[in-house]
Amino acid sequence: MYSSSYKPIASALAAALAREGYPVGGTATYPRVELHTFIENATTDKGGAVRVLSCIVESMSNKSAEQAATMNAYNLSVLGRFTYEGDFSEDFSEDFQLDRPFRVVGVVPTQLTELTETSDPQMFLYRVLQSIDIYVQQL
Amino acid sequence: MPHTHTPMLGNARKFYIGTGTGTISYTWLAGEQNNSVTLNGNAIEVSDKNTTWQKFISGVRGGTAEVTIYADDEDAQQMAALDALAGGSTILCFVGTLATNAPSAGIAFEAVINSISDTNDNNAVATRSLSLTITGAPTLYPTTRS
Repeated sequence: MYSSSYKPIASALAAALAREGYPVGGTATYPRVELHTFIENATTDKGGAVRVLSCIVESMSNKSAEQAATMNAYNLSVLGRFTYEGDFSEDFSEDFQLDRPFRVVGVVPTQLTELTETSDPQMFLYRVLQSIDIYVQQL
Repeated sequence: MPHTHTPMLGNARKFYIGTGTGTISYTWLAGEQNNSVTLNGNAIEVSDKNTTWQKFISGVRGGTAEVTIYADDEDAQQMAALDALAGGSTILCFVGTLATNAPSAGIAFEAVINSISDTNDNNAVATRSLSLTITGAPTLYPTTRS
């Protein structure tokens, strides 16, 4: 029976960042992180189990682009990509297997976009949008 | 009443591995992404110098099959397939749809494993492909013709 991986994986992702990285959401203050633009692709096996869930981890700062970039790097290290490399998938799976019936097969950062916005002449907002592909398997 | 043409998604036509003798029990090859089956008639040309257009008769029949799955070295079915290749033994296969665990529509056959090839691409789930050659006559389901 097919079910969407969006809720369990998005929840687990937010929980992991809340535990060890920059917390997601909360009050509308800076700096903060948001998870958004989730795209769940069609399953690629006939059992309807394996698919890719893409999303954007956005780090926002009103202080500096460097702070936003640092938050992003820190969150990536929480996801295990830079610090653990080869063991990344395994570590990630253990953390994120809280919400069955999905298992994270692996995570791949795919694209980074940096934006600097002004909301008024004195207010700058620095945004780093980190796209990631999460390979998941429905158990 | 004759059967009306009813196309279906390839998702429903799965690759199963059979076990047992007599009544064979079929189990879906977990992690299957796609499969293909080709039956060959092997046309033999019988044209001669008086023939304007080429003529053929049907020769020996045969077939091949391919199936691609997500690789798992600890999966029992994949281990059995690797053992069959190493031991030179055949495996029982069915491609199609089951009804109460028995073949409903599709093709059942015994096959020799030609090759097992793994693909480990960067940023992709690792896959394994089995290439098979059918040995003996396959059984086509349903066995009755409308």
